[in-house]
Amino acid sequence: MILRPELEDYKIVGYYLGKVTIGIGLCMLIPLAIARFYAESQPMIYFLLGISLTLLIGFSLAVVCHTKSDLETRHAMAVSALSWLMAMFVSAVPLYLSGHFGSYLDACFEAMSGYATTGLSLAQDLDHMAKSINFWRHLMMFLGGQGIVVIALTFLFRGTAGAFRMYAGEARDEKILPNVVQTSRFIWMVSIIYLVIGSTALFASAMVGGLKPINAIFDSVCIFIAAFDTGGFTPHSQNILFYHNFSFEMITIVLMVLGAMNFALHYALWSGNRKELLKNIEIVTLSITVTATLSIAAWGLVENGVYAGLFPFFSKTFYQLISAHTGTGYSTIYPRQFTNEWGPLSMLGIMIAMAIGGSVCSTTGGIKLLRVGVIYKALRQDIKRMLLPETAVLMQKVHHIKNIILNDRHVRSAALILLSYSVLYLIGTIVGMLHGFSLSEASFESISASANVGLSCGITSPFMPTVMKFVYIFQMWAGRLEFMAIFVLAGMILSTIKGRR
Amino acid sequence: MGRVEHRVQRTEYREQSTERARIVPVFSFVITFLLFAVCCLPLAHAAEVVSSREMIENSKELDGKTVLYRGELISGVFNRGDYSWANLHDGYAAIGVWCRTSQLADVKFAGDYKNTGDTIEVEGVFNRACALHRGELDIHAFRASVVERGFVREKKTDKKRAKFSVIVFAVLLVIIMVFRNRL
Repeated sequence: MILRPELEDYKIVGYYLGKVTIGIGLCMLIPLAIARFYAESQPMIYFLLGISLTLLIGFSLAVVCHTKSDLETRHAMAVSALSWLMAMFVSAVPLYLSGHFGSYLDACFEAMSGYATTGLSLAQDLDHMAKSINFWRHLMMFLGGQGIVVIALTFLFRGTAGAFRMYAGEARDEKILPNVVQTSRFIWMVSIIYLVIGSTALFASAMVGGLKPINAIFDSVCIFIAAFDTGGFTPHSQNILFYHNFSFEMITIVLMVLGAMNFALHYALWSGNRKELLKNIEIVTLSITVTATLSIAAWGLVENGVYAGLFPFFSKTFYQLISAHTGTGYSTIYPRQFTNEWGPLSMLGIMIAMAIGGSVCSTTGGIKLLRVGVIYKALRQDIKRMLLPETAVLMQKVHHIKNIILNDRHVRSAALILLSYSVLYLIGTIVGMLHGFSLSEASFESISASANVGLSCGITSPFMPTVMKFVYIFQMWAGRLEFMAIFVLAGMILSTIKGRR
Repeated sequence: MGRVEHRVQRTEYREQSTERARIVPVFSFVITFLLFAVCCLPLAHAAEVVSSREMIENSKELDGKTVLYRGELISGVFNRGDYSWANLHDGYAAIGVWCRTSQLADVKFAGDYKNTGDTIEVEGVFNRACALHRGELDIHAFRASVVERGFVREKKTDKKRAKFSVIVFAVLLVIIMVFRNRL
């Protein structure tokens, strides 16, 4: 029997949703300041309108649904799921007004792609976009990468039990530090320190590469944000190819890998525990999966004779692969080159890398390395069990910051997420194929959207079918939140309709 | 003795003149032919402008061929000493062009939010996966020229939206003032 939610339940969801919306509105002040700095008068109006509308919605929700009750798990999950939709709708306002998007739906697609750190883009005439609007696209990646709720936790909430439930709703289930607010603040501290170091390195490289200082500063900050948050937006339509700069590419590789690492691992390394890097199950799994997927992609490229020299071959293959595996989506080739030149086998290597993704408690999407490692260990344990006498007691350990004894609960959780992602990948593939795309193209784009990667083989464009835009938005949203929050939201809606009092 | 020598010299001079008279037309024909050939060479290799879409879609067929490409300069020229990079956008995609820095000396406008960049026409060799530039799809240009001057884009203030945003902001302030105790 399902119970229909009480009025108080809706009020709790509405009140906290309002608070998160206020947070998003306040974040829009940053691009407004940038518009003022670059003397972009028209975008200033767009941001003023966006801020006013967002704050109006946020305050209205907070006033109407005012409550002092704390969040339960179901409320927290629903707030997390709805926050991302609300963020998409309100953040799309300045984007749409800028005139660089064919419709409000396209602007919503861009906003969700930004928040989910995907990087698929429907922007038109990107090279003539105002710097403030362009920065807003990148800032959304930063906010989404950190977690919209994490931001709200840091600035708007006290460290309540409900706060942790919202944090978990955003697919972050690890407490790096004892208190969830302290954990959020640690994530911010790590990000800001890397921001300073990474942007400086990118700036120096861009200057050597011939960019003007004013453009070099802007581009280096934007590229850092999108690389470290494994997003994949760039300020220019040519993606990373725009810079024609090897050192720039190398720096982005380092940033992408850092962004794909678990924040708990960052904490361990910052605390001086460098041995963790060699023992951690996620890093071990990453090494194996990178080698395997790189070999598959390389095999396909050799068969097709795409690159003549060893250096171009390695440079292109490694870059696209790391970008795919870390869920970033930066590219040094044109999207259509995947289909026209790389071929199905190389695309398969990239697809597997995208599907797996990076670490849990990082900014990446996909199944995640920890789960792949856990499922592999469980499989090995089961095979061993069959080979040993029935009386033998088997214990499988997994090293992730500390030694964990693998139990059925871990395996079940990992297997459920694996199953959910597989279904999500399949949905997009079927929809793509129904619209006339080949299996390799449809699955490539579907995995890229669901695993929040952003690499494209050319399907994603302002002119793609509307149904596919809706499906990709759903995939990006569900993939970023790792399903549970969405399942709870769906359950709440269902119980509102069919539940009993 | 002196007359005999003079006659011999005159005979030799006449023979040389006859030889010159034969060589000059042949020589001028060769020169004219060569000049004509040099002038016609680029036309024979790349008469039509190739689009970025054609280069990306038919990269294997066009690889190593001389192409004529035209596009708006985006963001600026990236100076790398004697040579520079210029990203030229033709409406579909931007293609990186590698050419001598001196060939781009005439550039004044680069495309961004405030400017429409100069339209540059380049002629050069198209590379599907350039060996010199780590496998990039690019053009190595031997000729580049500005064919259309860029300009500063006019931006008109949208008064309607400005007024609307002021109204929404005012409503917001009222809500905050009235209900501040419930926030």
